[in-house]
Amino acid sequence: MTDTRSEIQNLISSNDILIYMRGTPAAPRCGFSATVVEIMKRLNVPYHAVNADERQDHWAELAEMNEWPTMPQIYIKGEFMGGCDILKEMFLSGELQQVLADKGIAAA
Amino acid sequence: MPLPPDQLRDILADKFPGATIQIDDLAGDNDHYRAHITASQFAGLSRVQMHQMVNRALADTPAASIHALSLVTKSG
Repeated sequence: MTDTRSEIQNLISSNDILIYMRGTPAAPRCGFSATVVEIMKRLNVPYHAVNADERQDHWAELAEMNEWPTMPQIYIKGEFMGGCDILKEMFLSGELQQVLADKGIAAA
Repeated sequence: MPLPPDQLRDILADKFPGATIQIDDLAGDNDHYRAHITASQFAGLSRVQMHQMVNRALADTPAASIHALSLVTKSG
């Protein structure tokens, strides 16, 4: 396994919620990333964010691993959930809140 | 690389024969789209898998390297 991939796998396994995004939660650099940050704020759940703009190596590896060229990309308990569209759809339908409860991720 | 909306539609229609496709131009810059795709090829797939299928279809079309493509997919 390349060290980039093992770095990524390490981040995936050591964080309940891992979000690769453009920019940072305090300063998202694209509307889709900002939407995901807003969803997380409303859910009030802890997460680890990685600025993909500053980790192009991770971005390229994730694009291939997940067949997903764009950011943001979200992992919950090691499972790749997709990007902003899917997370928003799940949040609006309440499915995301259910998934978090099922996986024992409580609001902070 | 920007791509005009009708070309994006043609690429998707070609990859998903018989699908219902609607393209929303989000920013008018030929680079930010939302594609609504209802395709029988999505039957039994999760949302992530449907989006990955579209990503794969676009990946081997160099002209379709769009910065932001939002997807709403349904099987049907």
